[in-house]
Amino acid sequence: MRATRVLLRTPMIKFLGKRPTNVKVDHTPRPHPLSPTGSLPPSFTAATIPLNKGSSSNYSPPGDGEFASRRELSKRFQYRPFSENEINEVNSGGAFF
Amino acid sequence: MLRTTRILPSKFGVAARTRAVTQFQRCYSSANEELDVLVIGGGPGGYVAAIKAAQAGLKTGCIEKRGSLGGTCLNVGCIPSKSLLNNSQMYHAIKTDSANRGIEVSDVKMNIAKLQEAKETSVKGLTGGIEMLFKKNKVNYYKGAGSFVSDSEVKVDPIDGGEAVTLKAKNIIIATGSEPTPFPGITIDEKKIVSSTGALALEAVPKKMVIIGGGIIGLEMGSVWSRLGSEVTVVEFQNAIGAGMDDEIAKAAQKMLTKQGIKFKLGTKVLSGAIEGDGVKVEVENVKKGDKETLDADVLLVAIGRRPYSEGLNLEAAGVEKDDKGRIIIDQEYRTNKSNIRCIGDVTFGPMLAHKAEEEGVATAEYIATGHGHVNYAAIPSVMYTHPEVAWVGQTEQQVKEAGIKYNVGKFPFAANSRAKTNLDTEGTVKFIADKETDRILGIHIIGPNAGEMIAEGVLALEYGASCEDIARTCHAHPTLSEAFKEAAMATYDKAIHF
Repeated sequence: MRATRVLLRTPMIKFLGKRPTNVKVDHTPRPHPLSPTGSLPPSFTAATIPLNKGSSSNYSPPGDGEFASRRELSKRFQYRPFSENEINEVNSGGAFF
Repeated sequence: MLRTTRILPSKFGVAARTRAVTQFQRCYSSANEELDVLVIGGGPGGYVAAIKAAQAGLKTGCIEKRGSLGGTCLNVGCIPSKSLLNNSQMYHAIKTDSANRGIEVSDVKMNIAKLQEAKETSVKGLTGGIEMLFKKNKVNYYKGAGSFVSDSEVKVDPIDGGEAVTLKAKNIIIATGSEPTPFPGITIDEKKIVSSTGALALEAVPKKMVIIGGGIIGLEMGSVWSRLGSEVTVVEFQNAIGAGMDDEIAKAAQKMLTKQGIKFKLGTKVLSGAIEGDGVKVEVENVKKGDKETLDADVLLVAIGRRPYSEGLNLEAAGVEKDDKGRIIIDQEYRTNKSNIRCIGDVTFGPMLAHKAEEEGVATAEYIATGHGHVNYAAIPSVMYTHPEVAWVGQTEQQVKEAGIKYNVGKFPFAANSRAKTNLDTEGTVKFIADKETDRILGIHIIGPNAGEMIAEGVLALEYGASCEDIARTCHAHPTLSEAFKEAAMATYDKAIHF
């Protein structure tokens, strides 16, 4: 019956709630998700510590089954960013010459 | 505040010097005081970053050389084009569609000067509004051209003359945007051969208009001038219009725009374009057949895209690195190779979209203030504000096919939607693409009335990882266009009710 089905259904939407800011973040420079080369030139060095706040003194590690970043999840749950071709198409107005 | 003598020489009166200071900058801290954050560029990326940083309690300044805030988007892009699109559509609808609706009008005329005035009023209201937001949030606003002196100092040359000042900042954000890409061999005079900037400011309706580029800018501007009576021809190198659109939706858009009178020459390359006499001659060639022809136009619009803009920044003094396409290279936290200098928006990686730059503005300010930031590049929508509008988010059908993902497609036409019927505006479809196994939404593509607003629901769904069933089981008000969205979701995992 339809009503039963509704009651049993679990929505896929996962509401994340307020985003925690006390998780540890690795600030080591990595390529930007939209970098066309997927690499950084040698001129990039270790990042400086953020200006203020963002202190890790109240850091609490993620619990069981929790992750600090989407990047730590399997590929299935990671976002698929724009491809270089799609970026070029948007930026060029679809025109090539 | 800056000492006035640094702005104007002492031969000017005190009042004039004070006025100059006010025009040059509005300061909430001493000029000698080091800023926490200095943003170069007051466009959607830059001004949002500045406001967010100031809201986080950081001493913030923003340099803008245009003379008004808002960048390309507010001054010569998204905003003025939407004014022209909206008003030209009203004119066109009154002229061609009012009789069907029982409204009898005669002697309908277009006053181009007034049309442009309405556009300017919208632009001024919005750019002035950002100045108010700067005041409210205590962002120091410097009206001038910024150039690096070192990796922590930026010289500002006031746009109205006067002595330059050098600002020191702990963090610098480059947000200098982009400019139209020129077409090799074609000289833009912004009168007869125009970029998008000139196309927004035409003083008369050209009898014939040729547009190079079938992307969003070209099609929006083509729609405006076509509605006002211009004979518009779009020349596109590729075999399809609509940059980045789902193929099926792009074809539908082309069909609808053709019905409105716009001509398309696809698979055609432009060989040359030059002013001859009172008009412009454009030589084109069919890519496949090699046939050449010359198109006559009163105005030629070059809309082949935009390129990063960092002219005059003196990046060498800061040691900031660019790639071979002129984009400033950044890492995952928008840092350049100088870690105290970050970069966002059109001048770095990614599609040149104002809302993408805004997201990056917030994220980079948060990275500086808290060490955390967030932009989901898989959920950035695109919108084309033609009539009907086209909007999409996520992956296209061709992309999921190429990736080998098993998927379901569900569609719902506006012709079966009650509100669209009452509006007598029924062209278009909503299309969902979802993972076959999990029903998770992969992409949403809409062509139809109000698509640009409707896509927000799709972006939210994608952000939260929703399934089609999640959307379909969410109550949508009746009668609304959004019911078409819900029914398309139903059609993807099950069956639509009304089609």
